[in-house]
Amino acid sequence: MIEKVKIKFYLSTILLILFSSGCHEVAPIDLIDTEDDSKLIEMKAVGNEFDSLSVSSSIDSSGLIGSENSKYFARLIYTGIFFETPNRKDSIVQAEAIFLDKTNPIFVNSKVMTYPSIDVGTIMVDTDTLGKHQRSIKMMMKDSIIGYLYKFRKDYDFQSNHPHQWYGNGKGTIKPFDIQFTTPSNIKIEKVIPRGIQIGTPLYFKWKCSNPVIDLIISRDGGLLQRSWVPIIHLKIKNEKGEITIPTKILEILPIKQYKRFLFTFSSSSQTEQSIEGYPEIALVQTASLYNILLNELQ
Amino acid sequence: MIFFTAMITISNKLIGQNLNSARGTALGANITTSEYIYSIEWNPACLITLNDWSIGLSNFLNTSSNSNNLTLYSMGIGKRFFLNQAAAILYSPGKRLRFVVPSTFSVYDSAGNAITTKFNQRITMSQLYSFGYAYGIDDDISIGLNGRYFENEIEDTRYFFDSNYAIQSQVNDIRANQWTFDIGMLYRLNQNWKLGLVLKNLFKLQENKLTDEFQMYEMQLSKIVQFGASFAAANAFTFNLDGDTKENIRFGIEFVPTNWLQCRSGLYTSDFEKVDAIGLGFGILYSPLQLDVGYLTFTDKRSRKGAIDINAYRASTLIDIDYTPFTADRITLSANVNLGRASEILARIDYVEMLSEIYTASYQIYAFRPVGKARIRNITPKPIDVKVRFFIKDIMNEPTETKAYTIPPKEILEIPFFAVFNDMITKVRKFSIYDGTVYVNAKISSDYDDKYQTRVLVRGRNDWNGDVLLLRYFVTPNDPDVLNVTRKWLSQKNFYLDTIPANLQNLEKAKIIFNSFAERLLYINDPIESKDYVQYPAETLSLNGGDCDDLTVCYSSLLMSIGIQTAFIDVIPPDRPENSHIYMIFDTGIPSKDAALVSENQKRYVIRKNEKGDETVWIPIETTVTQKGFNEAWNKGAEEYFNDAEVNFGIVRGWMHIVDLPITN
Repeated sequence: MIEKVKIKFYLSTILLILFSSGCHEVAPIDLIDTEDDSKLIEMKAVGNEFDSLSVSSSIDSSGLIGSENSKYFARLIYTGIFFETPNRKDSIVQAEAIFLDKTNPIFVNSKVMTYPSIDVGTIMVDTDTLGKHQRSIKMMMKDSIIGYLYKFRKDYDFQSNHPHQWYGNGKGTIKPFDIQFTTPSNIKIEKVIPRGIQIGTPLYFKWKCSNPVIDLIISRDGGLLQRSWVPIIHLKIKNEKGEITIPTKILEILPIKQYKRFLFTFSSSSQTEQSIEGYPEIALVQTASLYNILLNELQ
Repeated sequence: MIFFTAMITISNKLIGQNLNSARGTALGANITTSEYIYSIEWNPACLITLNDWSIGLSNFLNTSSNSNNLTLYSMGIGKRFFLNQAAAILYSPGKRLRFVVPSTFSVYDSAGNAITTKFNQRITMSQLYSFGYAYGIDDDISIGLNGRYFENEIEDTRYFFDSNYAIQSQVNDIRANQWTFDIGMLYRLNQNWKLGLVLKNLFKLQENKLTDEFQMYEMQLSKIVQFGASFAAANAFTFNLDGDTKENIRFGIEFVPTNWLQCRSGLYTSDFEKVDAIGLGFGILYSPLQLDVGYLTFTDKRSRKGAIDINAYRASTLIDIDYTPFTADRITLSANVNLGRASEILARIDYVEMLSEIYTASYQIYAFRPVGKARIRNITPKPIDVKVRFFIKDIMNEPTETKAYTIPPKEILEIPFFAVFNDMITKVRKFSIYDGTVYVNAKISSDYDDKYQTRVLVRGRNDWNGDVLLLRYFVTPNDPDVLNVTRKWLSQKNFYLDTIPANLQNLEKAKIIFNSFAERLLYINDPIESKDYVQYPAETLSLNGGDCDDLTVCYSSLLMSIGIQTAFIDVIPPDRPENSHIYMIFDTGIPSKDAALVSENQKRYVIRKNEKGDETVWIPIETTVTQKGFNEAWNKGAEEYFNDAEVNFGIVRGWMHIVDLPITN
């Protein structure tokens, strides 16, 4: 009898200890990479950002400028563009302006494809006059004129934080306008390690720019049938250190097996909204410094 | 030596230590003193300390964590078998090291909605299963082997574009696993010192490896030599010291103030310059349940709060799961139960010597005369009680067992053993050889299964319960006082005795002794307060008196001291039990055919068989009339004997008993 009581006591003790422990898991230890600056990054896919409103490659090489702001029907954009490939470096300053007529949308398959643009007379940036180019879309197997696009391109003389002025003499209902703007901090990529994309290897960039936010658009090659670059990832980077290491987690997303080269476009930009007398919508006045680097897959 | 040197050479600053039991955690150094199933990982050779079945479990509480929940660390079972072997298995769900690389950058889909990911990577290192086996080469040396199953699991979050070029995430699972095997040795140098050696990760069986991408998370189960020593001081202190080729040193001390309480403390260091961790704990033994509590606290807690720099992780190489640079303060609780009957070996048979061959004709004598002796060694530090059993199949029904002999700690004793043969031995016609088996059973002298206290009445040395059979123990013919006095009285009559024929010598000596005895004695009744008081012969001779019991005992002793056989005559009349009485009778040694030499009156003597089986003349003596001389005592004794035995048939009816006092007594 006494033995049975003892055994019950022992078993009860063991069961008590066993059940008191339950099924709690061992708490994990966080591995914090204090040197990892990827927390400064916000990533999003940009595949659907492009619609027919985008003026795309006609305005900037990445398609970023304008596309993200497609809610604006009038846009005045002044951009300094630096383009670096393994073989050459190009740089230009480009200005573009467009005023869309929101009242006459153009439908394709019952969906608004774009809007016609209107002639607002002469547009200048400082002393440079923008050329007036016809704008067309391909409909029913033929090109149709849907208004005008103002465009100007010259050698690179983009200056950081420099005041400029848009000037329009007005036409029709559009009254003459005069808009002041200041360029953002110029961006210049100083170091890229490694000089290509390699699976499992983070990509380090160092730049010179004081803008608080740097946008990085990674675009894939448009392929044989397309001449332009197709943006696929948009990274918004807090410019706290003047450098960033793109983690492998992000680079892994790139379709490296299909596309062997990718365009990395760094953008330092600023924008304001302006009302132009005679134009019913708010106009976007945007200025940006773009730095494009073409990186191939490293074997 | 080359092997050890090589392993020492390849070592660098790494850390490896078991925390699988509360006792080990508190002690730090436990290679030579590990107990129960937890020995699997400390030193598998220590499994030999298992007594029988043993089950146990261990929990721990991470005191640096916000969670106050106990985590089941391990549970297992072990068994000792074949006297010198033991095995155990251990399941350790809590022997797990988990790291999480948190998600850093924010991810949004094209509509601007955040994509939630729990982690960037989650790394789990576990040692779920282990087993151990120990073999005792002899009482002092044992070796052991263990196998430990390790698993590495990496859960890696990957991003990808779906068919709509929207970013999605999924978790990929990468696993690696392997078995590692350790070899351990335990050597008991003497009662105080023990030495231990463990070759960790000596062999490996790797089933899967992590891919190159995740090599930084793979455990480096490199070869390590661990060594330890313990010194058990006599005053209940045990000092332990462990070290390894990774330059880790642990020192532990255990104090056992009582049988049921143990207090422990330990120090951990890896560079001799500072103490890395301190262990504290205690244990409670309520046999067979052992409960232990151990607390481990680190002096530098910077990397032990649940979050560490990944570079610190990269700079370390993990060779074990328990004691790492990231292990947090913890409290460990262990419970262990030894079920079943403990079969700890207490004694060994050094050798057996057969003292003689067995002669079938006199086979009964071997029940009293040793047939052999066994040299038994107490291998414990405590006194043990030992019984030796001897058995020969076919010619013995049951093993014969000796009385219990107590052997002091570490001492040796030769124990004679006997044999009780059955009738089959009489059928052995010719010289034959049989297999005899000698067994030894031992138990700790102080051990008992239960205890009950009661009052025991102990009589004085002269008290007697009235049983005539026990009166013989008062007869002391070899007492020096008795021997001296009979020698003295007979020597005074030497000349007279020389004239007496040989066959009448006993009768004449009895007369001389009786009369000499009578000259100095008077009859004295028993003390009133004594229920029944018997004097030893020396006391009767010294006090010059006694009652019938005392005088009968004394005269019997005197006669027996010169080789004359005597017997008590105990008479308890059935109608008058209060008149019970004792007198005596002695053997004259005169053959019955010569009885007339003693007396013409046949009522004055009794013909009985003596110790040799010869019918001789015996003379009854009533000692209460000692003062009247031999003849009167003879007459009185003869009269009483005739009336009791012949007239009233006392012997036949059972109220008269003659109790022979063997001369060999």
